[in-house]
Amino acid sequence: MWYYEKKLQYPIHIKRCDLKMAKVLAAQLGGPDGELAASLRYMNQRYTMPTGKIKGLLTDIATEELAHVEMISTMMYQLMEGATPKQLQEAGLAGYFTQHGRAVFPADANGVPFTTAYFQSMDDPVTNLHEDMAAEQKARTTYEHLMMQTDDPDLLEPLRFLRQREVIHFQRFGEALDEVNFHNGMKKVH
Amino acid sequence: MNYGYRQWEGNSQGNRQARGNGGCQCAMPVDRAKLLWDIQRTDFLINDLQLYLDMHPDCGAALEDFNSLSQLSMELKEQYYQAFGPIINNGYQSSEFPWQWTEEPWPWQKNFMTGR
Ligand SMILES: [Fe+2]
Repeated sequence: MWYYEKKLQYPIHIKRCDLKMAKVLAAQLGGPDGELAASLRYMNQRYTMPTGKIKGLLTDIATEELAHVEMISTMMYQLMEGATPKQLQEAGLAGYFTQHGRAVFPADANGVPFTTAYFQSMDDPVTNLHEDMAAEQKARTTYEHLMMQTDDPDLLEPLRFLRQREVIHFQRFGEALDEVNFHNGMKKVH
Repeated sequence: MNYGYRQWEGNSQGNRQARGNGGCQCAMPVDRAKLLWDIQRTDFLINDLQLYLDMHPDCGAALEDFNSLSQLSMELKEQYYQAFGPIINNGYQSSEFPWQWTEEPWPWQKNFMTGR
């Protein structure tokens, strides 16, 4: 089970209004390589992982990804708070405003709603971990695309933080894959 | 060792704020933003070590850091609790009357760090 800590993993306070960034940040909330897909992917895959280490790693990374969902949602919330319908229209958010107002809703940067079809959960740890490593790289690239579209330090600092977490997660999943391969090699010997 | 100390320490805000007040115990009003920042920084380091230790359970140096940072985190959260109420739900910390948990601001609100 889980506890809630009344804080963000990394502080966010956006002072400048930039609705175009709110629109594209959605990619990391409800997009194919976003944080929600990441959390649910690892959360579901963990049950059939072969070792205690990897069960633990997936539990811990799935949990951290939820904190990242909260950070992205916070950025979208703060960017849209107080915006007028006209401003939202001009930023390409007319459809979003019509369907959701200024609420946070998990869809991608083009408004396509989140779906679990974005990820897989298999009873083969090698298959899962390869997907997980690819997912971390795709999320890293998405963060880089986001960072290219703003020069606001209030956005860049948390985005840089989140990008770096993808790099670390990729590294840990790589170690998990080595562990599984080692484990499988041992099995063949006996 | 490849865990993310540098990720946080290299951050401009981190360098500015992480120096603290040199452990001064004088009865000054609690600086909410600074205390929260210290908690976030400490918990980030702990979280990063947690993932590292999952895959490297026999790394004594990482384990030592993990244990001392866990102690520091508990102390910081106790300070926060004394000044602002519970930071963790479901009975991890008790509440004064009336129920304190739902007091604003929540973490996604713009005034969360300052509380004003
Ligand atoms: Fe990740």
